[in-house]
Amino acid sequence: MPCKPRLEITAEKIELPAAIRELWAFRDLLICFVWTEITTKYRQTILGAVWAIIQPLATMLMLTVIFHKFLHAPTDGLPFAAFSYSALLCWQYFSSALTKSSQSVLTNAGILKKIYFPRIALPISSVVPQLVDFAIALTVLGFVMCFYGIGINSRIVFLPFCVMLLMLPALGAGLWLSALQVRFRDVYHLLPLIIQLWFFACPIGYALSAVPREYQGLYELNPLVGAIECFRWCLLGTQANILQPVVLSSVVSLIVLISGAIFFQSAEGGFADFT
Amino acid sequence: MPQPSILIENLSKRYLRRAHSAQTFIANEIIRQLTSLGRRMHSNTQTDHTLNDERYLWALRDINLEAREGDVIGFVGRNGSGKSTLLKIIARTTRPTRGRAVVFGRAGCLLEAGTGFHPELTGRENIFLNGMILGMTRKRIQQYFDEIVEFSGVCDQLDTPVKFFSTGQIIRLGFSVAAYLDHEILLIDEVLAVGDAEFRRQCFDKMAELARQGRTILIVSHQMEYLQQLCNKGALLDRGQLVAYGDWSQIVQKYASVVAAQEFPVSVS
Repeated sequence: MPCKPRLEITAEKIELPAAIRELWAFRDLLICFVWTEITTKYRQTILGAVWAIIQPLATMLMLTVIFHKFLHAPTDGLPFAAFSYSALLCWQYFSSALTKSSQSVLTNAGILKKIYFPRIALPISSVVPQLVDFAIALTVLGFVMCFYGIGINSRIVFLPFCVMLLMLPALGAGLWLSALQVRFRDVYHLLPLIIQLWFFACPIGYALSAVPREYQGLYELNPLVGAIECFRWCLLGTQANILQPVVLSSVVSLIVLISGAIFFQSAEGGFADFT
Repeated sequence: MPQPSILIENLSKRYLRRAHSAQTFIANEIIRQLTSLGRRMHSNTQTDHTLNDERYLWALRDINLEAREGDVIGFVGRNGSGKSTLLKIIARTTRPTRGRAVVFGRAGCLLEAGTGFHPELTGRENIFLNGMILGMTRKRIQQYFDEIVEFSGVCDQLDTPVKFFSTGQIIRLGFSVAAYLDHEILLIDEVLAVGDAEFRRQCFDKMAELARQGRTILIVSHQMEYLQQLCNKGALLDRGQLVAYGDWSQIVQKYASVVAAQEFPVSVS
């Protein structure tokens, strides 16, 4: 007789390492979730993927008026358009990945209640599709850089690392918020507020140097600070010392990610009963 | 004697009647942590204070059941007797509160119409999405793709987004994908009574074919005539307890007597 898998179902929660192993067995489904989101995002729109460019561009124009013309915010010597657009790309990715992953469990309640798959696949698969928008918007940054005569240098090899610095905190926070939202719908109302505050806590319309020196350590605990600084450093060739913010943001991101994954696993057993 | 396929031991499931407020939730967590600490220190307390607590609903109470390979078991009982909850636990969508279920082999579900379909995707894309959600590999779906399409009878709309399908067409497509699951155990929760007469016939034949392949099939339904033709075993549940389990013919009689007993006190308001 062929050996059949034996599965024991009890009230015990599934520990994180077991969940990750299981996730590997479900990789086809994970890819399918990502692909579905990418291919359906711009269906039945007229402008299609152009939306991926319009959003950061429009925000850039708004920031140019407010931060640059009105407030004369420092930009570490960079042209304001390149300075803010580069950070807006990162922000655009981060905020949409965070929103999607935070809501991933509730929006998929329909399948969640009917079918078993590792629940952690939902927040994970929802931080990936936004990378496509990120890549599209990145090409526009190329044009902006050409316009201001900023050349590409060899630091560009660190770009994947920058992307990782954006993905990890988005996923980490997404794991926390998606699991919390199942029990406490307050998260749904809280999320726009979190995102709005987070925007102003990032060096998007102003440079890191504008933050008073005594608060900089605290400010850099925001994992996006390191990610944005690193992104500018590797594409725009800024001279700022980015080692401290990058190390801090890596550490904070990993803490949020690991604690988020553990929390998610401890809560996922009850998802079907509360959605 | 066929090999066991599902073993259920002292399985219970408790639901909250309503979601707690944040304060009671946190308070309960603290109490739970403390009591589990206490239980570890002197672990002879088996009584559960929540058994008669108004706030909780015991959907299943101490279920013991064994299914063997090739069994086709019909689950009957009134609404709210715990049939679906039992299937959900075996399907792993919800966890038991106590006890355990041991499943030998992979368990797959046949779903309600349209579950897991993405409205913006075409019929073709949805066959793949749905198949993978149900636990099929991409390879297997590719292998049976033509058969699935033919069975569903929606060939001419394969490249139309599913949101433009009629309800009947969605049902057909959904069942067709599920009919090609390769799982050893199939869980079917009230999905038989759908579609037009012709498609129902088609579904029924498919189900009978699946049953003949030696798979273990668990069916929840109120359609006694279907169960009559498909099942060799039956399980009768009432208020979360397994009242009877055995050959289908015995269960039919028991169910009839339960229904008769229930009908008497029902008042028409």
